[in-house]
Amino acid sequence: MSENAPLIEMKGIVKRFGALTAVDHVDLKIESGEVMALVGENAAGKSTLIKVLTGIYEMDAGEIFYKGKKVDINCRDDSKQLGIEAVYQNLALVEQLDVPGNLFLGKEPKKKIFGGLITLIDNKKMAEESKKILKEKMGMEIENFNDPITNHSGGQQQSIAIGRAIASDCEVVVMDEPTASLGVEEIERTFEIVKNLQKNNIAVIFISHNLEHVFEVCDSIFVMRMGKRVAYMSKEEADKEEIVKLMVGAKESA
Amino acid sequence: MSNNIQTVGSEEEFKILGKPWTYQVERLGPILACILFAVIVGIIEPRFIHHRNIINILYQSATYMILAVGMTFVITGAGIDISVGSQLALTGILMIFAVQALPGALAWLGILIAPLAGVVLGTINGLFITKLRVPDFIATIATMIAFRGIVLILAGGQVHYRFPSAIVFLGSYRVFGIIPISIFVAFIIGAIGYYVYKNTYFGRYIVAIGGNKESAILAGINVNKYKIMSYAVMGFLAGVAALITIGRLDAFHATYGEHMEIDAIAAVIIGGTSLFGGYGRIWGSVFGALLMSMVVNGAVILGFPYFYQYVLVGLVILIAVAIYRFLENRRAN
Repeated sequence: MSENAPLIEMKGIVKRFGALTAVDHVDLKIESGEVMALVGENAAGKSTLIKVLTGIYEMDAGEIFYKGKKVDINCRDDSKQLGIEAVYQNLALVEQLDVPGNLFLGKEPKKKIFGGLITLIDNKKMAEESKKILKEKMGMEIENFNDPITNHSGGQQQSIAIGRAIASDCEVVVMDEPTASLGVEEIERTFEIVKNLQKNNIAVIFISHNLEHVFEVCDSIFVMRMGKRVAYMSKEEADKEEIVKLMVGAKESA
Repeated sequence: MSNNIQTVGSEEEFKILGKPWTYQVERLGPILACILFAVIVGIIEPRFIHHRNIINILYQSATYMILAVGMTFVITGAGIDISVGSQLALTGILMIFAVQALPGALAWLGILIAPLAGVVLGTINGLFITKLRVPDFIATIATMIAFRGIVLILAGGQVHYRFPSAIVFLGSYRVFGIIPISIFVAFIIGAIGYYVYKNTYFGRYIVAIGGNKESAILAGINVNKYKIMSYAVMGFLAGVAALITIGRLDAFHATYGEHMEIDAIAAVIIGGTSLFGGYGRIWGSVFGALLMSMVVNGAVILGFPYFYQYVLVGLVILIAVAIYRFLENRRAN
């Protein structure tokens, strides 16, 4: 493990679906606390690349390094072990469950009774931990904590989905189009959460179509087109018009 | 602009105990309906609320309460079990054979055959549904027919009766000589069911699976395992229901339990559980079952001809669902 190695480094990643090469020899590096936008048109390979990182797809070629050490990510559990979490586009929440129920879905704290004979969910601990996560990691409070989340706004549901990703100690959060279906205020709220994650030294990969949003929160921009990496630049060196050209293929760059 | 958006929908609702009245009516609806029905029919015909009649109603509804608790778990997991009537009959006849075959005090162990056989039957349903991917409705219609066939083979066409006290005890024994023990059994099962729903991984994951199966899978929940468990719990409770029902009647016939699945499902619907899954109300189902028995009994006491009872029960189901939809719409606005 070297001192200066990036948090995650993907090298020469290839993913094919039959005759189609969805991701074609892509290199990607991200540091702790970096907020990287992953942009590109539909079918540019953004989601596929991310699904390789989270272990949902197995890559056909390439290597992934975590803090300089080569790792195998073959399934979702492998990536979870490394602290890679994902917020899915459809949020993957259960509307009928309350806020703690969603934050801890699938990893509820245990409580044993009758000398360990029966294992129950520790609802009290879950509620306390939930409040802590929302407050400390995301800087927010949610009213009607114990109502089914179907009673909460789209933005709050988004926040809960992000809260769930970071409920366990994670180092990278991948967000797939987090602002796509939100209102103006809710988008602001999401940006604040992203900035809060950054403060906690958590890296964020932010997939988006919307360049306004990208420029609002990101440190760096990674452009993909037809399965290939066409550019990687810091926000300071980037210019919207240039990025649009890169996305649609009107210009090639390093 | 943004101020306007925030004020829409925040119009003050009338509140009871800190929650909107629509929430409280939905939550307490089934029990309120039971009380309201008892008061109205009791005024018209006081015999209805005589304690003997109330005990009688509870006694008859105990079977349906127990089945409805199990059905609540199945339906909350976005499933349905059409085979419960046949499960009740099959676990019943197996128990009768076991108790009759076992000598002396061992006969008391024989009654355990009913719930244990129920677990096996429920697991069979669950395996068809999860492993062979037969839709819940179709799989349990198939097992309803198949289980009934086995009952007919085992029990033949005659009525079985005069059972050993092991079978009759839970169904017929009356505490202080008045209150049948099966009523306590039903309410204890309701209480345990509620606790399981709220506090166990099984309860939580059944809600998640019924609410959003994709999300449950992404959260790493073993969907098949919990789905099978819900049918096994249903089977277990069908066995318990068989025990107290056969004990109450002290008789058994191969057709026993037919149509009980419809009554159990109706009780669950009246209780406020969502048929689409993800939202179950255990106590609602218990009182939904009670309300159905009250309507049937009330119709008899008020002198309605027998056939009209069906019409009345059907109306109760429609009214209950209409009220839930109304409350739901109000809250959505």
